[in-house]
Amino acid sequence: MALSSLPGLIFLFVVPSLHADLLELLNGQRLNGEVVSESGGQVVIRISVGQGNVEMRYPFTKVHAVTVKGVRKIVTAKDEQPVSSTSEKRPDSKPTPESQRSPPSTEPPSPVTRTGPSTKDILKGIDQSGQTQPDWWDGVQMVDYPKSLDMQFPEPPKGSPWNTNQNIGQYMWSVINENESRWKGGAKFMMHVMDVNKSNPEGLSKAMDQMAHIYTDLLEDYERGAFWLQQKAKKFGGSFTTGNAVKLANCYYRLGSRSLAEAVLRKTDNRSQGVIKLWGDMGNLTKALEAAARLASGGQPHNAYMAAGDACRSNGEFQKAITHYQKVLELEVPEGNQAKRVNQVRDRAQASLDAIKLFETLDVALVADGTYQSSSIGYSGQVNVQVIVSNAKITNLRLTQHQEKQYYSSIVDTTRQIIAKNSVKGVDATAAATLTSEAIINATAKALSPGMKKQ
Amino acid sequence: MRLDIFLPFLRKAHKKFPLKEPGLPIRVVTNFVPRSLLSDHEKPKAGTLRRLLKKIGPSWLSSPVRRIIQTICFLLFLVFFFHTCWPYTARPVPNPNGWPSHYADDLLQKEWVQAELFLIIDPLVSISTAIAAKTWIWSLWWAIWIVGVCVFIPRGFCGYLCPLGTLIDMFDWAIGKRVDRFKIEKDGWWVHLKYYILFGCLVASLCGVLLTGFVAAIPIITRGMLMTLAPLQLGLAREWHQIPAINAGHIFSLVLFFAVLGLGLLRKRFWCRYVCPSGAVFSVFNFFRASERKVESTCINCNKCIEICPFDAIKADFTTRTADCTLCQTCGGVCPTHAIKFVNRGDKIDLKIENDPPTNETPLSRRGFFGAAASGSALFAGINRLSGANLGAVGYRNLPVRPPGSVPEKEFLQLCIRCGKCMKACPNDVLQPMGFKKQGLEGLWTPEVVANWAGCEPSCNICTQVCPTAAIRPIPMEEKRFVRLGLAEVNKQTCLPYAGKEACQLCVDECASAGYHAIEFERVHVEVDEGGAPLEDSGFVAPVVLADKCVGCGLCQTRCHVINVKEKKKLTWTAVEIFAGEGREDRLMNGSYKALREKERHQRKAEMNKRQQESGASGTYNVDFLDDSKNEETSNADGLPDFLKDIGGGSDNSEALPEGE
Repeated sequence: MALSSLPGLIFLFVVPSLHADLLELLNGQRLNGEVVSESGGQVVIRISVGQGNVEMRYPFTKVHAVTVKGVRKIVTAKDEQPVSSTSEKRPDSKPTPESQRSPPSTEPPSPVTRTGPSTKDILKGIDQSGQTQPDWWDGVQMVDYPKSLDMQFPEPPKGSPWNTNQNIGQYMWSVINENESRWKGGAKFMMHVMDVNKSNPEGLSKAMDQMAHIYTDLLEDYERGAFWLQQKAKKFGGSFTTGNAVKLANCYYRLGSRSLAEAVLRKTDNRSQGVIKLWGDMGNLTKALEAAARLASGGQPHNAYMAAGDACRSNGEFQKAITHYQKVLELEVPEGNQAKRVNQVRDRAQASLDAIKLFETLDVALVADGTYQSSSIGYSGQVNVQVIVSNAKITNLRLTQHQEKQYYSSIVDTTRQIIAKNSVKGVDATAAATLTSEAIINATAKALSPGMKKQ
Repeated sequence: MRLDIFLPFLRKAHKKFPLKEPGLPIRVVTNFVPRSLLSDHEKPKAGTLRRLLKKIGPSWLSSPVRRIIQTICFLLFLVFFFHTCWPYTARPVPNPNGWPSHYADDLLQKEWVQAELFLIIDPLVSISTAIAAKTWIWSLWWAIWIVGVCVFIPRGFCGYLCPLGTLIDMFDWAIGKRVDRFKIEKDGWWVHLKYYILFGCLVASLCGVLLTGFVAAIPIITRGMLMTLAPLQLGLAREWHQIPAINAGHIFSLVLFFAVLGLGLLRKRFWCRYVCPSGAVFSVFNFFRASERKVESTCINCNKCIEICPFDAIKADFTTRTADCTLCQTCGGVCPTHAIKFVNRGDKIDLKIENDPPTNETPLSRRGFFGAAASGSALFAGINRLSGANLGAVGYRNLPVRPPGSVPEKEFLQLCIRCGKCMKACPNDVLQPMGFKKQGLEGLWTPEVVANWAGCEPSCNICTQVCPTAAIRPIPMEEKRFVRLGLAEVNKQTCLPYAGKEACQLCVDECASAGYHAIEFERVHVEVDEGGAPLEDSGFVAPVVLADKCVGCGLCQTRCHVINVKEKKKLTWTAVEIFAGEGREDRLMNGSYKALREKERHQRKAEMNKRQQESGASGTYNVDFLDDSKNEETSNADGLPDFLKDIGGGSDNSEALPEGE
């Protein structure tokens, strides 16, 4: 695995473990931090940003639930939520860096509470939200799409070259999907495309798919995502794909209805990575593995085991995850044009294996005494570290060689934090010096990993 | 009115030449000094203070006040250079909503006096740049102030304040006085060289070419420190690999700096006495002096004052070369008969007869001035033709990228005094002195952004704050983030994703974490399945620079260079590079950069609105055309709406299953 993609992973593993408390806002935003107070009609939560903390205040009317020391408490039920509210991306989500896509998020599946909203309320909410414009609508500029786009949204002729200046679908795929800053403007553009294609079923159907994709997968506004998926089912039920179904099930689940989600999932033939992932996200590992088995026997074993591994990993079943990832690597690579894609899957499996070994199962207490060395790529090149472990403690950590200039502060900071915490987990990347910090954390983890005693 | 601040208050009384009634400054000071330290004038017995100073050396003994002020000023200069202008200690402050400013804040916190103080009180710096650029610059106020002060203490700048003078004093003491083989005894044409150089510089300035940076006092020592001790400081405080490479310009600067010191081998403070054009400015203004050194008739022609005078300011008849005297008062301290006094210019009491013995002064040469004017113009012409910046005739890829807030290039070359202060202050050595390559002699030592080395910190505006001549405008942090230094350009031939070689998003991540978000993604080399649908994860995301957001900080280039070129050796040259030039950078003499960006944003918005209107789209959230049957119509056992009964039948391109099985 290319080590350069490791830094991205770290973010995922380090941040959630930092704070026990969780604040869920009505707009879907989730904040990890330390809840300082819950009085005077507002919740104050302290969030770590870089090296320091920021206290943010939220009135009860905006807060859905607070989890303090593992105890979850609903503040404002979801059905009291104003209809016009929208989902926003979590503040810590970066604009889809490549390295963060492959492994699953380790964020625990959103808890579906017993006191959750009723199915009826959810369906009603979907209708209401879908009929009204999101509150960001007027403040966002439509994307400056190429003038040469064919606004009829036709299927590009087979074998024609990829052309983001002509085909709407390809433009959306290459330009809009990849840039978070363009998602809302892209949604406005799709509205415009629908406007143009009111009487063109082919274009309209495809625009609806795009709209559902933007709201569900990108903006995480599940009410509107579900709305557009339902519209697609109403108007073009015949071309409702497994992909559409998984998206819709995901929306129902995120909005708080496991039963609706499962009902939709049961209607699919289960043979899809998306199905496996969603079962995994919903915490139903048995169903996920069943679906994986079906997909594996259905001719896509690499994808199936990969998705199964991800599902196990996101449910904290690291040993099972390792087994599945290893299965991916053990499988034969087919000949021909499929080889490239299979190799991509294998790379991802290897990356996930490495990440689990480095960060999820690494425990300094189990590392044999000794001096360890390794390296990683920092801001300006290779960073070499030397770690000394004695009596299950990191007693010394120093950079034996590096080229860092710009982000010098992290060199002192990060090493001190790792020694103090006796772990690579929970180490804050020094603000504005994350790359160097992450390189040090990575190199330390890589150095210690081989020293783990067999359990 | 006596201005004596030299030794008398410490001295023993002499039988034949009783002490004069001391002037006001001395009377005040003696009231604060304990009696035990002072000499006993009755006995006569030397006091503790006097005995102590005698041990340090003759010039400390004869005029300690001057030496103390010199020491303080020299130390201040070093503090401003080696403490205020790096290293910085402020850490990034968590500020999720605002723009970081920790570097700028650090300077503000440390800069209790302007870090460029000595540069702005060198009057030649302000005067020549203002003449060259034909504009008023703020540091002219300081020039006026210091020249005003020096009406009362003629050339006091040279004797008391100038750190280069103090450094030369130290060189002369440590080395100059031990090496005799180069010493010259007789005066020659060169005794007035400083006037000719000053004249030549001003003529060249009038023609629009700034030569002063090569010869003005404070730029010489500032640049000298930049090229000698600054790398040492960097290496010792941090690591040796952080010192940027040197070019021919560095060597030339070092040669010049050591030549200035080396002149001390010819005579004490040879540079200050005969060559320094900054000193010549004060000499010229000495015509208006209000006070001067005078010698009374008790002079016994003992020659002690001539021997000790560091500035060769005493004629053979022991009277004063008023243009050269810095009022350091060292001569007063050694005079055995107390014949020397520092008084107002009109004082005529009991003076010595002039021209006894004869002085044989070297006259100012008209030929010297003509020569200087001629060489000034010749240098102007020569630089313009042969070794000039050649503005407008080079491709944009060869233009230097200047610091943020730099004035337009022509004016920049006329205002930049080449002192190197901005480069010392730059926290990561983004700014480095330009060599001869890009703009010849005219651009020598001007600051250039070397983005392969490092990128411009978003939280820093320090170079703009320390520039003495406003070649880099002093822009606040609210403006800094909007100033364009250049525009990043992606080389699609070499850039790893565009070339189809491998995934790489170093530049995009870098730009996003800096807060500019000026590089976006575009997925390239996408593969499609038989149905024409794109394959998930096929191809690479490649960088696209947004011209309206890129400020040309160069952080992207740094990252591509250090990782892809130097570390991984995948490229031979960075695939994303910043370039200056028309339309790519903001080079304003005045006005707000923020307002400029705002204006551009409004223009773009208007264009988009126009386009949308032309296409006939409403732009509103319009769902009238949709099926409005309600979700509530549920008959299903599992609670699913009716219309979802039959889903799951469609084919799915992106996750197609093989037929059969």
